[in-house]
Amino acid sequence: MLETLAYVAGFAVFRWQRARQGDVVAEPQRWTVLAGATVGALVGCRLLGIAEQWPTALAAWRSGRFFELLITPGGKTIVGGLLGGWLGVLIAKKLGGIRQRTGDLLVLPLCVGIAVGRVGCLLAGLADDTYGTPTTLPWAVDLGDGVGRHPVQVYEILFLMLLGIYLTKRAELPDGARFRIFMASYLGWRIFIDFWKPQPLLGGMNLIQWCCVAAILCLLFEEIRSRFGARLQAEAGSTR
Amino acid sequence: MTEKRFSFAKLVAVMAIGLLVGIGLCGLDFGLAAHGIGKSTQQFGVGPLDGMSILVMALFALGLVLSLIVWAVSAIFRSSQPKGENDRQQ
Repeated sequence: MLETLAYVAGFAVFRWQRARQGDVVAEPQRWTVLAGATVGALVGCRLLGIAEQWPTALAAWRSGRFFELLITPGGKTIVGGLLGGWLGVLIAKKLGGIRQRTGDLLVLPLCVGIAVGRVGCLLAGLADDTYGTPTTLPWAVDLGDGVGRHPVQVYEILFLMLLGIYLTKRAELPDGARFRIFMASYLGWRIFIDFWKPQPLLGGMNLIQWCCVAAILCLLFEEIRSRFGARLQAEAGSTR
Repeated sequence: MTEKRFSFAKLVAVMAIGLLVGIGLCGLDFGLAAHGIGKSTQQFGVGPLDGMSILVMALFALGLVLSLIVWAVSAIFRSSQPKGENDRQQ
């Protein structure tokens, strides 16, 4: 229920922000971007959500119950949704011939949507697989098994609130920078916070953390490429 | 006079979100399972509420695939039309 509320809240914030500050693309193009984002997010969150629990997926595959696992509700991850959505938008923009940077308008809706979704994760407790590792800290939460745990969902809600406020106040950022900062910050945060989540590990980190590392490297590469390209253009302009 | 074109992008986005919500109905499943209603949270298997979420998932998945196919076909059809005719239709 809170997941549905997260989509509704995210969309409401998107509409409010679009009406307030306008959009860099026309409405049909915006819907093309949103279609790419939602389809990509759908595929990404499900694939990574299942892959993240790879021992379970492997066991289901071996026992011939993989299809049942595929249609069983649950098993989604935000990082998969973000990365799949990002890829979906890139494909939709390529197909639709859209050249503008369109992600800035999605930053605040994503912060709000993820934060609302995390309330649902906290309320679902141990069944949701997003709980923290045991701790003796005074703010530890008991999710019903008598063990005090890191409230990792609350940490994430606080982080998203701060990130959302910071990025909303930075009005001087160039087009697309707000979205790239959001992605790099959130993915970096997930690398950090997922050490406090009991997930199956591969080479010292879980699959989500490895995906975050790969995506941050992609963002870094893209940033260097665009800065290098801009400098080359400026140099070419000054020698003319 | 401009004729408003049907937005396949909008339909695809709605179908994808509907499917996401369908998959997300696990929250309801787990909430009820904690009170002994429906399936056990420790195993996969089909419980009474899964019927509803699977129906929602199936309907939106079908709608998503169909709308994606029709969108792609209509885009190919539009791009194959001569430029002038394409503009007149818009």
